Amino acid sequence: MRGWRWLAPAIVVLLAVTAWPVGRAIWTSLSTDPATSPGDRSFVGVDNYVDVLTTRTWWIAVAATLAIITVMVVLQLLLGLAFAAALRRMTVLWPVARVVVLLPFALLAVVSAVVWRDAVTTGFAAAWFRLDDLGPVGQLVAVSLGEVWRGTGITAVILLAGLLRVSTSLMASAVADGATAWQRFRRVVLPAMAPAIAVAVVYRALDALRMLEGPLLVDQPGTDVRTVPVLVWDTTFSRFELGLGAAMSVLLLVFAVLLAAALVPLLRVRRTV
Amino acid sequence: MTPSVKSRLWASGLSFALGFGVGNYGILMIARPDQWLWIIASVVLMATGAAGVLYADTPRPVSFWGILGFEVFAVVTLVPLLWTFTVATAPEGADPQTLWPQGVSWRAFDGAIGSDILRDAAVTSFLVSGLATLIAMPLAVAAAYGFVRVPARGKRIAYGLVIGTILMPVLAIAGPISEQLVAFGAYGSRLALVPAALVVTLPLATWLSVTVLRDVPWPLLDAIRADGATRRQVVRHFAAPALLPGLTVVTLLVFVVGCSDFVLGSALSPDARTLPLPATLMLASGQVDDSSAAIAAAGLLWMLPAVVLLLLFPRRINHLLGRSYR
Repeated sequence: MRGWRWLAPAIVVLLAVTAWPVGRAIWTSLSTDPATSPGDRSFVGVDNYVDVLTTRTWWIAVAATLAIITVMVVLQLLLGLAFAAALRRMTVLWPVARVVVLLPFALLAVVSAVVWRDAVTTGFAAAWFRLDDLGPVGQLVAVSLGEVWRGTGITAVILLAGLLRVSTSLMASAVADGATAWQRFRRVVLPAMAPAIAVAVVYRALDALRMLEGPLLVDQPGTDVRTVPVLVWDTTFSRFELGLGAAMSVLLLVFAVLLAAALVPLLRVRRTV
Repeated sequence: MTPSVKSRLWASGLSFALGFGVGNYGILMIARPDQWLWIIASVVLMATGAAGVLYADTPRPVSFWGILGFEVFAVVTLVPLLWTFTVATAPEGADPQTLWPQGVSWRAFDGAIGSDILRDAAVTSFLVSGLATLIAMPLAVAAAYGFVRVPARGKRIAYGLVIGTILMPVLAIAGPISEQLVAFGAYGSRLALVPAALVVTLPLATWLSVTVLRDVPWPLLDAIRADGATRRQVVRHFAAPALLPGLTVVTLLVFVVGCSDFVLGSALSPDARTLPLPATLMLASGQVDDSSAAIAAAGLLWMLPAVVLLLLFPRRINHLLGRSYR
């Protein structure tokens, strides 16, 4: 148990700042607790969960969030793979590419959301592609694309590291044996970079799940389509329904756990420690 | 390995067709000055195609798929950045409608630098993230040493907790943390943000430190210890060269990521006085009309430290972020 002497401080602090609030969220979610009238707190059991899970808004939000996650991850993976494959061949340009590839990630998500929204409502994209009056859903698509843009670079970096592990001699023998491009991709490239793809997908999917700034920015009162994080935010910090908000927070955590539980075995993420 | 003639011709054909399409759309549908950008893109793509045909049957080690991919990569990455710059430099009262900036005015940058609210917000961000990073780093390095070097039962579960916290939607615990702060009577003070910021900095620092420590040549440490090196010699000849550069970059990266946290900052601050910068920008976007220029300018200025970091240690950062899954 000598190792725990090294691990204990960090793990204890980590548990204090995460497990404690999660426990508190579960406790709060079992009572009604409107922050606007602190005296009215009463224990209601699982009523908050029943309330959330029986509303149409919640399930629309879950469906919208899942759709956004799927599209974002697929786009980032395809673009990231294409860029990584291109950068792999352009070794001369690496000094520049290394910097450029991570530039979008350095821009704050709020700022990227604002400029992407402006681009499709009043800006150049509206003028170029004759978009007029997109509405909330169109703006949600725009800010999600902004988030795809922010995340593609880091995805490409992870995938490029995976691509560099593809053995050149194995590739040369595959070419010599007359393997087609698809066979080379399927039999030589994919097995070598599978761990990188797995990490990229899990990381980007959970990052897409917690995307908040963009959807919050384009959220308008009375819209039908909202994402789960926006619902949590609205309930907890705009309407101050703490009990209901805590129930939604717990469900958001469950959502994240289910997503990870679905992706990790599917992609056979390797254990590293 | 030289690509085959067929593959090069395909790349050239696609590149040429793409350039042709871009050129036509640009000339027919786009107004100046953006039309020039479309024409430049079209010319570059068609030139790539032509060069591809010329070089298709030569032994030169150049990949035209690579060139085409790099051109698309450059456009996709740089166009939104150029647009951010255009929004930031738009003249007062005008919504920019072209990608190329027209009538560059620096007033939004002046405003961002001179604004007291933004300066306070930046100080809050730096203070909170800096303190959270300083607290997290020693814990993280110790934990990373434990993860990499020392056997311990349940180590995998502990590492799972670290990774889980990195990937967790922080929003889900923002509500309970703010309630807890209200209960402690600490709601609304800048320092109260520091423990919450540890949710972001500590797991990230641990994870990146594990990556750094895994690449360290540990047999060297065993060897110099066996040769009877003093503690000072161990620090001077082993720790400083093998650990310091990597851990410095980790510290700076964690600090930058901590600075860009939005959720906790805006959830835990009741008024504008204690809001960190990302949260302040979000608030401004809802309350101030015509705020886009100011937000874009502040965002570009906020990018500078990260860009400097990226320019100083490009290889190390790419290595750290790319190889972290191994």
